[in-house]
Amino acid sequence: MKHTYLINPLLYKVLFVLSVGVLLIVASLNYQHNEKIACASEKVLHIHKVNCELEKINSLLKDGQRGIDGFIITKDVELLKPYLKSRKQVDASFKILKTLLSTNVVQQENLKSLLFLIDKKYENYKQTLQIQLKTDNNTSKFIGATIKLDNAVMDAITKISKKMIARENSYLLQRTNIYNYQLFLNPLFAIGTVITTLILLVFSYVKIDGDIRVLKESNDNLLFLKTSNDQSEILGKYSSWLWNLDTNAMTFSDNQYRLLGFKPQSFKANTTNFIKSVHPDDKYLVENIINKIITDEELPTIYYRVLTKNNEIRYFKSNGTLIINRFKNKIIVGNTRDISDEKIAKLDIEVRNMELEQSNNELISFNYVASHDLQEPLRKIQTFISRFSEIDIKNLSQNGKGYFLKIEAAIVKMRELIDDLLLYSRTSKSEKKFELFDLNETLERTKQELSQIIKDSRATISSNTMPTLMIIPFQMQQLFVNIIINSIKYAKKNVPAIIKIESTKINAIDYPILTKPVSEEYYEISFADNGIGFDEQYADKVFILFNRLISDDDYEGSGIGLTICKKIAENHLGHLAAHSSVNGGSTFTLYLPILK
Amino acid sequence: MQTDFTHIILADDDEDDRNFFSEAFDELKIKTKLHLFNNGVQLMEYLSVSNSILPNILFLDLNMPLKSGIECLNEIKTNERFKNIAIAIYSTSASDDDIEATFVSGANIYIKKPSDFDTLKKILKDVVTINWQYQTSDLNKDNFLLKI
Repeated sequence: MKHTYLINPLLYKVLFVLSVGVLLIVASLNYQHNEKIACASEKVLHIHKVNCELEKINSLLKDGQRGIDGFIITKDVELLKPYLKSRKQVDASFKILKTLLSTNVVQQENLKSLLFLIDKKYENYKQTLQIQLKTDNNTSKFIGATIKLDNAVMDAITKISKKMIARENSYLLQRTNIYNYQLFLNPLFAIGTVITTLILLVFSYVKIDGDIRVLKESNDNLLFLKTSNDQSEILGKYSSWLWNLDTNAMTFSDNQYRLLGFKPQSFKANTTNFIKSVHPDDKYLVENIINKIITDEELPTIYYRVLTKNNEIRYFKSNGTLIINRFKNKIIVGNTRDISDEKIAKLDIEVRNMELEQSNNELISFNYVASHDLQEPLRKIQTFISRFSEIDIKNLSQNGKGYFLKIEAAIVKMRELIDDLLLYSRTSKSEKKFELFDLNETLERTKQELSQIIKDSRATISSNTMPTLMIIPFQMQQLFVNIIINSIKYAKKNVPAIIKIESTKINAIDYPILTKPVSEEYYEISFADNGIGFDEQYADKVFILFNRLISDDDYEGSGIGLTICKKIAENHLGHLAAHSSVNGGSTFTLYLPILK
Repeated sequence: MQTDFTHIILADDDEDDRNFFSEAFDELKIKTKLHLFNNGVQLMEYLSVSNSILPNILFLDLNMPLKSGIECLNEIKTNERFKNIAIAIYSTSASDDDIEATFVSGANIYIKKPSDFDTLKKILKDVVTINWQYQTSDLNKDNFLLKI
């Protein structure tokens, strides 16, 4: 049986790979997206740092200025400390800025300008201080000039700082937008991932659930089939087995064990254990066959005997074919059947046939005894009687003469009986050679055979046209002869027999007398006479061997003639019936099937 | 072989039949020399002696002890020296099987033992006076069984 898989394992593989792929893509997109967010926030932070450092520089410069201003006013050296510290801090901040803006060409240019201005600024501080220390009075003119210059420098610094901050701020706006955009995308990605995963999960679930249902159904069916197979194995007395030629593993069905008289799966299935159950006389054969299976990779039908656990001889028949499983293993799938019942029945029939043949042979030798050994003494008695000369008979007394004639008549009667009996047994056993034969010809030959009797009895025989049928010609002629002789024999005294033969085609279905018709249509051939007839209630008895309805000495007969006719009708798969009434004549009706 | 006598042999285990046979020839008054044997073994022993006088006609009963008529027939017909002897089967049985078997084995005529002495005499007269040359050449299954 070809099995179509409802569950396609390839689909699962595709689904799995697809799911993993989709999840990986989603994960990588997510990762990239997070990277982008991190990057965007990094950049925003960067801008803030730059701005902070710029502010810091500005503030430090202003601190320096304040220190110097304080010193000028108070001449307190202590107040110069912020100035002295500021230069270092400015340099540190500038260094930070430089690294922060190392990739930005425009800002680098701005930084250069800033550095120049800062240097200039500190140059101015220096000059202011030197002037302050050298001269205390005539310095105001210089200071004024220096302060003017310094203010210009400071303005430039502030300007450039603002410019840089503005630039960074423009970046900030831009980057904040990007960051916000990425932040907006973030939940979309998350939802997308969840939805995709959910869809895949749901699809897989639905598919797997459906397939599991199909699997369960198939499992149910398999269970049903297995149970049914187990039952039919028990009923049919057969078993199945598998033999993996590559791994040498064997499996026997439960019934294999039962057939051997064991409980199911009560020993390990292998060739060695199996051979233990084979009948000693067949072990060699089975071992050879097993080796042949290994080389030929098939098992043609073999017959062998086994000895069951209870030492009972059973006849087995096995065969097997090769299949290749999905691991490319060669497996012999075999069936074994217990044919003991058939075998025993067959042996029984053979024995009976022999007995029948024997009894048939006995019958044949009985026939021989009848024909030869029984007739021999009769023939001799007759011959001896014929040796009595006329003179011998004349010398006998009147009584003696009468006895002598009676002996002669009795012997003639006995020979007739034996001859008829032989004819009957020959009718039963002789070869039945059917041929297409014209019944008109049969009647013609019958008339010829009986010409003397017909002439002597002045009987008349008439018939309509008869058919041509498949018959055994000499037997059919015998039937015609016997029926016609019967009619002539049982004619009314001094009334010559008138025999009318009529044949008509009939449908078997209309004639209940034909209990088991062998053809749809039959020929009904009736032989009607005007003889003494007999009581209808004895109609069946006329066909019984040696049964005579008339015991009158005037009517001679052996009681075999009609029995032979009946037998001949049966040999032709037909039927012979008799109808009559006392003094109303008899009708013998022959039904013959139309055989092909 | 002497030409003025017809040499006749009968092999039959039945004493009465042998007596009927010789009495019939006595009454027929044909110039015959009759040899009687009780069974097939005696017959074959006689024939196999090299200087024995071979019969013109051999009457052979079928059902005999020790060696049956059909065995004798087969031995005679396969022997170069005897195979031209005219053989008449003389048996109680006239079964189709026996007639068929003896015809196939080469017997010349089949006689069913009659139950009347006069009939026996007529048969023997007819058989002895048959022109065997002619009879053999025209032999077929239909005229094999002698009809009286």
